[in-house]
Amino acid sequence: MNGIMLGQYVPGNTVLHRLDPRTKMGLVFAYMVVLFVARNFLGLAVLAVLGLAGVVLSRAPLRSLVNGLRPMLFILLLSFGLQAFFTPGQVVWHWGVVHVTREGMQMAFLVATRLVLLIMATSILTITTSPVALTDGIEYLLSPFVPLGVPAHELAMMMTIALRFIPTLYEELDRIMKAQMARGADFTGGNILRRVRNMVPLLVPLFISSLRRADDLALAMEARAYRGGQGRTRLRELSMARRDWAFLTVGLAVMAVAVVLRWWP
Amino acid sequence: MSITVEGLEHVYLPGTPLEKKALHDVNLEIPTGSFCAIVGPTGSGKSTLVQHLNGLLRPSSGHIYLDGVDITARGVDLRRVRQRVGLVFQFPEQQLFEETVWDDIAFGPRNLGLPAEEIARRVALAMALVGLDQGVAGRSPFGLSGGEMRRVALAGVLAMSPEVLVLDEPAAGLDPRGRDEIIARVATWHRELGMTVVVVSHTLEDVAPFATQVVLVAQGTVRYTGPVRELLANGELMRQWGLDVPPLVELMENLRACGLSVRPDVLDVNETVAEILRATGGGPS
Repeated sequence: MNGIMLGQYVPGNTVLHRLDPRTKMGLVFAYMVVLFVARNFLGLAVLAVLGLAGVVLSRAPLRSLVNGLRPMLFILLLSFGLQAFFTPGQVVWHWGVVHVTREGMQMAFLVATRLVLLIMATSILTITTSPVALTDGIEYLLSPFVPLGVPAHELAMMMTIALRFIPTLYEELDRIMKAQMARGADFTGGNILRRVRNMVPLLVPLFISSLRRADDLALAMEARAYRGGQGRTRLRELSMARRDWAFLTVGLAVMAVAVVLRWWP
Repeated sequence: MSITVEGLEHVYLPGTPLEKKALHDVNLEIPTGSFCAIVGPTGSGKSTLVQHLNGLLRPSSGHIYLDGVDITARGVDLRRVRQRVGLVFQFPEQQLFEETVWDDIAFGPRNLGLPAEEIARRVALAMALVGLDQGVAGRSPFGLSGGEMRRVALAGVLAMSPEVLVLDEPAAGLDPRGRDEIIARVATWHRELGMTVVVVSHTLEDVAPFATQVVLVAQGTVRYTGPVRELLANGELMRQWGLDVPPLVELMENLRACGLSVRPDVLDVNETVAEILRATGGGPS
């Protein structure tokens, strides 16, 4: 666990942290759609201002956002190159068979901007929203589909449990690894086949304890009368405050402007 | 083999918001052939300390010497260190993974690259030492009882032929009978095979009858080193650092408060009875 990963929740008390998760998820979803509806730089500029406002409000360290972009750099460059070199149009520069068109450059910048804004928006969402709040939000947003057979509560519960056990499993792996190293195991050397074989003394104990833990957890939940989502009340009710409506109104209004700008000459 | 710990400090996750100083200023001397009991309340740093003894954790600062050789220096063969200092983790049965008991115990010797007949010899010896019947060798370790699984895991470390055996809470989670049995077995290896033993425990009474030296660890550093009776006689010190005072010692302290002049540093029930009889001037009637 080194450094802050892309989109890792950073506890805080900014206005974005306090927003209802549904507001944030709704806005980010709308933002993603509008990013692709907008087709000129003016529209994207409006959206970029909106995104930057989000960054400022989230007080997310800018460095962690930039670092978060790094793993996406390859995809970013690839799509930039594809657009720049393979869009037909007015040639502005060429070298042998390679040529760059005016339209290509435009498309390339457009696509790159979209991608950067997309990553930025989703990062702000996950940086300011705790995993528990996210799953609550997902459960609520999926609830209209329950009659169609979507197990909304169960999916949310599974996500919560999975997130809850990541640190536990990590600790357990560390302990088992040390125990096997105390018996002379080596997890660093050898070719790929050997390395995979070396994983057996780690994975078998990890699987066994995970299964046992799952059993215990199920028993403990049932002992406390857990029986799924039906009729279940919550400790933390989601509630839309005035600031939620304010953010939704302003956010959607700005996005509407970006959509309208699509027909700007 | 003797172990010397000098100015040991360990900081978990340094440079992050979760930074935590687990150990500081730890100085310790474990002579060859001793039975060293490391006691202290939960979260005092005992487990962190023993993981340094075979190089599983690197100290943030300080040194650990095995027979005078610094194992924190660069270029030290850590695999050799781990063979010489056998470490049995808490709940070691959770590390079992092989299809048969025999294969699991042979895991360590195989990692040492020993010839087949030497591996077989060591596995048989280790099974005998922990009191496992040779008949279970071909069975799956996962079909055994909890106590048997723990003995398989212990045998897995013994098969490395360590010069020092370090056990982290070997009795944790066992029933009272299992507790007594496993500690008594470790004491036998110490007495009869001359093995240097380090046992970590949060209950002093489990290890007191066997320990030649006791180390009290609390809040990240050593608070007492010396003979076990001296610590037992010092209830104040035990309470100050959150160590549970053994019930027999508490009994003696209460008797003293009632005016009976008994000494409080008793190791077991027999000694307690003898001491009370001596103080009351009575005898078996």
